[in-house]
Amino acid sequence: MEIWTEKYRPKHLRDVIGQENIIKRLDAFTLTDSMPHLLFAGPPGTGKTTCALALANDVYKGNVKENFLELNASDERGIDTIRVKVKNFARSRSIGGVAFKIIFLGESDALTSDAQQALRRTMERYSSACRFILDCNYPSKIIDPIQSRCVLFRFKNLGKKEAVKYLKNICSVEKINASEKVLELIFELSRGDLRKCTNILQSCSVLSLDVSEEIVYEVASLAKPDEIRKALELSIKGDFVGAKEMLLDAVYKYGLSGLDAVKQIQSEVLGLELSAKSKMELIALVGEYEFRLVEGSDEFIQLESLLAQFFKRE
Amino acid sequence: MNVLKKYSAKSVEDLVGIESEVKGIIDFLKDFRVLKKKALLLVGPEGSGKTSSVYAVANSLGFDVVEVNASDKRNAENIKSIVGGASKQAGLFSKNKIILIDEVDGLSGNSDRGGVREINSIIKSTSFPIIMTANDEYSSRLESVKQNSSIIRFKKRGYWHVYNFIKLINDFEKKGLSVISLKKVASMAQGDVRSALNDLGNVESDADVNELFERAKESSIFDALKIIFKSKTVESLLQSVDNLRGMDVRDVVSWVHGNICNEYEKPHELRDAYDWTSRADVFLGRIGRRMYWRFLVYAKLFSTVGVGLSKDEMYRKFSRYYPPMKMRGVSKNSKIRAENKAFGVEFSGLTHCSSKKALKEYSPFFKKSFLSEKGSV
Repeated sequence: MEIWTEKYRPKHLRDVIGQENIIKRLDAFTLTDSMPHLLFAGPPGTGKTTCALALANDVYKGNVKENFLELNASDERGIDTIRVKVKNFARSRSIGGVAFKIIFLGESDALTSDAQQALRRTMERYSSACRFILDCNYPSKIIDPIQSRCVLFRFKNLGKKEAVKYLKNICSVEKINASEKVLELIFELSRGDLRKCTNILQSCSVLSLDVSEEIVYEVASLAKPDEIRKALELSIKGDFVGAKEMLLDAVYKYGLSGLDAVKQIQSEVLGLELSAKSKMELIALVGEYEFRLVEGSDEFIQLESLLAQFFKRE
Repeated sequence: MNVLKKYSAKSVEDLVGIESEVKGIIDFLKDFRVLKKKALLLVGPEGSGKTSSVYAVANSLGFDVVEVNASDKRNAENIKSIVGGASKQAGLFSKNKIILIDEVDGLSGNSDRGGVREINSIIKSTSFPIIMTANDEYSSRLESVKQNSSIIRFKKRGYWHVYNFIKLINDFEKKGLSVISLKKVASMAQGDVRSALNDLGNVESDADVNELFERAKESSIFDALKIIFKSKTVESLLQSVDNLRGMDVRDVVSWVHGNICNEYEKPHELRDAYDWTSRADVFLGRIGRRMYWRFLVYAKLFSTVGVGLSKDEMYRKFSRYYPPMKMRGVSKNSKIRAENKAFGVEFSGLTHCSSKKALKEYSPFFKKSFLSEKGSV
């Protein structure tokens, strides 16, 4: 299976679209032989990983494999594994005449603050041989001592023009027939997330090479499971047992964490058919339950209890 | 021979741990002629030694016992003929008599009609001491009886008392149960010596004890659920907490949580009850993080008393209670979870994402084709 987000990922910094200022500054690092630690922050699908990969490609030319280590904070089991991997990687000298190796740590805001403290020491220890690029959605979740050691790059959501241009390129290569309007719709539905844009386009092309607005709507609804909205509606109507099952199914089916589910519940509340007052009360309750979810021990108890708060509201 | 009979108290000396209560009974019998209240009411939980004390004391002091217990029909007529008769005539060989009416709070409304009134009138005219036993001191049937009797309260036996007792018997009978098994039997009994003895009589090996223990745990949670969902007063709700002693509070919370929707129907009841289990869970989370075990108290009270008080009125319906969803849903969802995991691992390798993120970002679009590809391999 070919995944277009990978197939059409720009290989060089000059090909990256939309983040001109960032590219200009990053490009400067490839010319000189020095680079600080970097912190890439921004919403998903804006090019953080792409920039890190492209930067490594431009710096190391043919020797990326030996000099570039990619780690994922949420997959590596704990900071200790990360430390060991960093240590082993940093031990050997960089190849190809560049003074440093690069370690890319994805989703680093998934690390607890204790783990980040440990990471900070690791960064200091190997800073002569390695540069770190940390990637995160929210820089506020990164502890200050790490932030102060990094140069912060804020990635913004892509503009419509750039995204559509990018999608047009894919269309011409894959021989897809899609109007400008359709591509704009894909962009709107993805809210500037280029990964999602690409995924939607690819899924549409599976259904038909002539992509229409209807197909786009159909595919886009996949990305946002409507089970959660349905569960809320069932609870409001008074079928709590049905609502509970619907919610659990959605959680398992899409592998949602409790927080993912709460976030989505929160985004659905305003769209429900309830009085404005009830909606506000419910949003306050969702906030309370998000807090309890963080404090509590069992996500399912919190989710079901939150769902019960919607029971027979008017 | 039945263990229960064999090891029941034969004389006053056998009654260990309830000396002051026994002294009360002896005093009552000795001073009977000069007392104004001609009846004695023994109240206390099951197996706390009420009936055994009466028989042991009677044995030691040389009394006969005329007993009417719950298995006899106890309407006005019957009581009059059994008790009333006994209360008048002196024993043939002038041996003294005790009239024992067991479980007076168990007099049932219909078939025992008029029983209470008859007992009251007999108490007033009796020439022999009348001793009654009851579990529930506050039962409405006892109100009038209480005014005509002195009361002695028996307490629940301590765990160690029960344990030592059955250990002694275990050694005596050469049953050879392990200490752990004996402890399990003792803790199951919850201060009820009789039930501990019964259990001991029915087991032959440690494996038997284990089976008994698991069953008791199940039934104690069902009993507790019944109390939580059906009663309204703080006292009886607290009793449900008592029933749950020895159970993991996490289990309690999820059992209660899982059954709220099988009982409550009104919106505010449902919301409030779930709010309480949610709060209980918050405290469980805090225990995990801070290792501060006193928080258990709150988790327990919220999930029992809190949930119980969330209702306006008791539902007069038959409700079935089920094990929590999580246990039921495991097999169904384990397949989905395995699929998700495989997907996450595969796509994280392909897309520079963590497996969790890969699942979130790519599974809506690619899971179907991923699964069909996997299936064809």
